[in-house]
Amino acid sequence: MKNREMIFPRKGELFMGNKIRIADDWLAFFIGLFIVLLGILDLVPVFPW
Amino acid sequence: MAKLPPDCFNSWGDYLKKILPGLFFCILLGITAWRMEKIIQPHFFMINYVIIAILLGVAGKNLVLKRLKTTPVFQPGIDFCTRVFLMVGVVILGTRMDFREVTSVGGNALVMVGISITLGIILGGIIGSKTLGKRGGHLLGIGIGICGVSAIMASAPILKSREKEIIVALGAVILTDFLVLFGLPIVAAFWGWGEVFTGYFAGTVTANTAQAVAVGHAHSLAAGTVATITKSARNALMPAAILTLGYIYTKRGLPTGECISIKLLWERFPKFVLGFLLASVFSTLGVFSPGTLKAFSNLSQWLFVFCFVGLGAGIDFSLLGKRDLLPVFFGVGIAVIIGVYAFFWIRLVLGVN
Repeated sequence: MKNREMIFPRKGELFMGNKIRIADDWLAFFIGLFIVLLGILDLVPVFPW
Repeated sequence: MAKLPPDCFNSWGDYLKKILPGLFFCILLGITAWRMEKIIQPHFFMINYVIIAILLGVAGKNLVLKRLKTTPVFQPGIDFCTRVFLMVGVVILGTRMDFREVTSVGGNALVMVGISITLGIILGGIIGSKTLGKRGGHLLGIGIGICGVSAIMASAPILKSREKEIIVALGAVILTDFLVLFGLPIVAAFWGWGEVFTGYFAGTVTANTAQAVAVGHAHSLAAGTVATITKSARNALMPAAILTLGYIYTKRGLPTGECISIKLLWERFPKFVLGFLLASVFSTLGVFSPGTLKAFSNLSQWLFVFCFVGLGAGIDFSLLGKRDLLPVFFGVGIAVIIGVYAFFWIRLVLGVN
């Protein structure tokens, strides 16, 4: 099968070929959580508003 | 939820290259909107970054991209902005929710705020079913009932709202706040409302936090303090409202005849809401320094302004009819009904005059 997909976080399907796909809500969850965790370490830059 | 990268792209590298022009478009116009707000707002305080960013998005798409026939080049990035930036912004917005604020307002006032939110959502649903659709109506009710722009942006992806519905809901809260900002100090002075009464009232009726604080302080310092506490309690109830809506809309989205199971609900539930809730829990535990909270607040505002540009670029105004614009005015009606309810609750239950 060409371009088999992984749809996070289905178990046992971490590497399924050359195209990795992720649901947009999970992507936002991980990016957001990463930024929040950076905040715990006081590493979030202050963008002026 | 859509999968990324979309099927038409062979790899992430390919997709990232394609979204760059659209990202640049949204970021550039977002920064322009921020700068323009600083210039325009001192003269016309009602014109804020939300309106400017949406208008710049509309103008950029219709006057530049369409004329140059470059829309297909920019569209993937614009779509990415309106979806992913929005959801990431909502996760970060969670750091502004502090559950402890729920208790600071007092039992009876908390019940008042809870009822006003429910009332806003129910009335929004009723109005929506006659005009914009129930989904759009609920979004409008959430905006008026909870905390304006933030609540609309946080709920829109859960309700799977269209650009048109988001813009109408934003228009309604902006108009409502404008009228409250001018009207409430006049009404309070005319009827001789007390400081605490005005504070409770401003904190319950105003949609956006900044406006609630401003209306309260326009009356007196004490009114401003009560308005801030009441509004903060309303904001702190947002995670509960969002979780409830997430459950209702996930359940509603199941195919007819499908048995509801936890597994199915989990599959359909928008996962970024979990990030929002986690961020709220961290904030309640007090793990963030004041500087980081400020950084989060600014970052979520930046992400939202890029998203507003994308929303403006995504709307086709020729599809907007009278039927769609009526809810903007009905939003004011919801605020009036909440105001009448709050008036009697504050007088009769809280015993404040």
